[in-house]
Amino acid sequence: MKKYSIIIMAAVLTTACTKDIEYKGPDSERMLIVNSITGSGDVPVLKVSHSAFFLDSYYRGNAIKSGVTVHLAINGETRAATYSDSLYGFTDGRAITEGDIISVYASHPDYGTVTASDTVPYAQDITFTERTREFVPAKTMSELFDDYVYDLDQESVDSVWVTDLDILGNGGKTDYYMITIEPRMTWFMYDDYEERYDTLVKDIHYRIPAETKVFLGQTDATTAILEDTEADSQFEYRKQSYIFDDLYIRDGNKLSFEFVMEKPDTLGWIYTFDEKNLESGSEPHSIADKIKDEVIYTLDVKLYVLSGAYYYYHKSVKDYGDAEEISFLSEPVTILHNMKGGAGILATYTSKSFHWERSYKFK
Amino acid sequence: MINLEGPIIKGKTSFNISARRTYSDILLNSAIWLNKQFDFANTDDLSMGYYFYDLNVKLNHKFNDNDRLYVSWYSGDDDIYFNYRSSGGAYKEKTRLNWRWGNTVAAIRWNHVLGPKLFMDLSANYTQYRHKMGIHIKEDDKANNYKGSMGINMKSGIYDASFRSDFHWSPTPKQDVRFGGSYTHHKFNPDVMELSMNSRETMDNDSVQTNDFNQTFGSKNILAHEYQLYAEDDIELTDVIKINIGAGYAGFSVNDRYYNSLEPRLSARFLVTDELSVKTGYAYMTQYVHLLSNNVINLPTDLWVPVTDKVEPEHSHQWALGAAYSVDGLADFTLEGYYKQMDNLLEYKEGSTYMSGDTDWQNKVAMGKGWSYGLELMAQRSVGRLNGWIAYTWNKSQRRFDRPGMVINGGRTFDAKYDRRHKLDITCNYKFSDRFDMSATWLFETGNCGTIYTQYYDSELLADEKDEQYQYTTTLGYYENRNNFRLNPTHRLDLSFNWHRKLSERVNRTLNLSIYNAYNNRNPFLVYVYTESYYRGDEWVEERTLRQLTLFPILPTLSYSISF
Repeated sequence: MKKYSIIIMAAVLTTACTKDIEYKGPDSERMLIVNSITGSGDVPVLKVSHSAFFLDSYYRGNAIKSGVTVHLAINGETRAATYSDSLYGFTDGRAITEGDIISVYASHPDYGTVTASDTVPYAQDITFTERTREFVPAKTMSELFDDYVYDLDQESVDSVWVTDLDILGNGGKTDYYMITIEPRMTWFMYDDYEERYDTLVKDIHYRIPAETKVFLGQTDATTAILEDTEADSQFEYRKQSYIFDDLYIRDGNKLSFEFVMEKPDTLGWIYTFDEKNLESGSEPHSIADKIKDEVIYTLDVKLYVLSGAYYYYHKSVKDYGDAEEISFLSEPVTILHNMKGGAGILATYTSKSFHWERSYKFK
Repeated sequence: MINLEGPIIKGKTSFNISARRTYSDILLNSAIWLNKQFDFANTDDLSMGYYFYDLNVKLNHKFNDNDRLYVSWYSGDDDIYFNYRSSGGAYKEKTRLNWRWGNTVAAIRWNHVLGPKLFMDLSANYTQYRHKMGIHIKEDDKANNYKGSMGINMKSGIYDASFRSDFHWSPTPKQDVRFGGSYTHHKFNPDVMELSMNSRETMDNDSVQTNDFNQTFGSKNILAHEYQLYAEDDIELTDVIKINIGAGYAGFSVNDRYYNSLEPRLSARFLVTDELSVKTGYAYMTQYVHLLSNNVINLPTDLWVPVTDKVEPEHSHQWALGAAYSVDGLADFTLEGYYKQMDNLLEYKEGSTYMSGDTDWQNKVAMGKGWSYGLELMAQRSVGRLNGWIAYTWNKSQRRFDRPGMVINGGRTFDAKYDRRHKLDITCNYKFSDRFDMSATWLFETGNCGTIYTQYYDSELLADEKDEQYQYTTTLGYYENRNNFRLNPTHRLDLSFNWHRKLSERVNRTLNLSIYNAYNNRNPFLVYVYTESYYRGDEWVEERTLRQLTLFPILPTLSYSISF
């Protein structure tokens, strides 16, 4: 040890060192948390918990089921909310509808009192129209979509389906929107062990035409509709959500989406089953006792109208999640909430859905 | 440290060359090397550390009484490095991490006397700021016939070439006029990220599979031109009133966009008595280059970025008021207060990161306003064996970013990152004799600000997540206000001892011992949450502590200088 002492001393004195310190900053008291995000027509469920100090051992599992007073008011009528084991939260059983003003009051002797209110927005008056056509693209699917998904067919395709979807606005203007787009394909593979057909789902691609920016009637449509994509990238894959504000969906304006779906006889990714493991096949084929010769294409589009409180909360939570992926050096994100005296969210929204479905049999 | 200074041609040409480098990394790597010599089983190579160096060269030449030439060159870099190489067995790995930043400044200046009352300085300058961070990993797996490498390089820099002319004209004994202009060619390279992933694998059937990916992300070079004209007049209106009035014009051209501004300034001094004077001043300024600071960490990840067609120049108004009092033969006392208002300040948007070089930096920034104000009190003694000063500063600096699409901290006011409320500087120099003198400086400063999520809580499923097949919520972090946490104050004592000796009639030598942070105070460089995870019986436990990292403890320096 003696022969190392000089080396160690020199290293310790001349290099970096750490020490544990005491936290002396603000916000060290644990807070009451109330979370509720409810759609029009549903029953609000208030998830009550307390926060954990950042030096605590556990951050999760702090749900509060008793010892807390929770009141919910809808259009001024206040009722006590009780805990429901099946819903994992407090509720008074009343559903909300468009235009309702809801308020919450919750109090706990150790974590304080919180209050919040929100107004259920009115649904946007819109019309969904679609038309489906078929054409043969000049490029392969990989060239069309330009991404790293290995299961796309490397060969040129025989034909594709294209479904154009327009969302036409009729009258009115609201402030905060979200659109979710989810095109999928369902196919069926027989499971020898379970002795049944398993339903397997694959995400597929879609494209937002550049003309959509013009139809939105905004000066900077790129920011509004293509928030999660680069302006020049037109293809998206699997479910996507777009949240935006200041969108004026009015008569004559429309959002357009183009769904490019590879027809089954050109698919190169259908899994085949052999005795050892699952492998991707080079040619699609239907084995009568393994894969059904039917696939179902579905398209689900949902247009949400959000309350202001929810819009800001949703944006900040998404930013927080993106920042956490590269937490080192990421700028901190303020979660914007409306819960006074604590944290959480009391938010409402309305939505309108569009569903399209088509089945296709293998040759 | 080495410093050489002396004449080349007596009375006409002189030079000064100095160079220095820290040595703590040499000591550390020596300790690592020694440890390896006694650890026979360990064949890995490891080196790491931090050092900085700088090199300064100056050359002065006097052509005649009316013409002098000054040439100078400076270059300095800081470097944090980590190199690891495994050398044993069929698997070899080489990891290199390097973080380097530095400056180079070159200047040539011609001073010419145009007349008995008119002087001129013409200069050409080149400055460069460079910053590079890189990680490189190489693998050689002979057992699996695989070779691969991965590298990430983040680079930024700013390169300026400028020409400047300054004139000094004294038309009367009570008036000094200064005027001039400059042109600067800027080249900005705000952030570039180079990614490379290459591999070569020999398969079972002897075929060779190679993968190569090399791509550069980030902003292209931004070229800009900056012009400046200025004029100011220092006038002694009366025996007790002196004013300085001036104005500048600045223009900045970038990406087909031209910004310009007129910048007036005014200051005045009133001599109340022979010992007491009061001064006041106002200045309006425009800045065409922004400093973009990462809020999270106190490392040189700050970027200098130009204004562009999307990012506007920064403007500020500054007011100052102060008084100076002199006690003859004892000390001078000054008290000064200031208030500064700023607009179009730049910060990273919430959630954005310096590391994501694939997004144009202009899309990652928010613009807002700020203000700072403070008071400085100073007592200074310049005569006698014991001299020095005591300076105390109190200041507050805040920001607010509430423009649509650029909201930070919910639009609420918050303390600026570099808001350091108190600063105290005590410097003493004492000359014991012609052969020995010493100086001591004690510095105290409030810690930097940073943001810590102080609470964590469960989130709720978002509206578009409620119909997902697999649902899970995340844990969200909470803080009441940005920059809610302050690092511990920094304080240190620096000592310097000089022993002078006359070696011969013409040769003198000075031996200097300097000790940085003499009492080895652990000043904070950054703080982080350290988590220790383990099983306590069947229970998985995570114990968290707040840990502070110190970079520079006590650092002695020895220098030996000879003058002849």
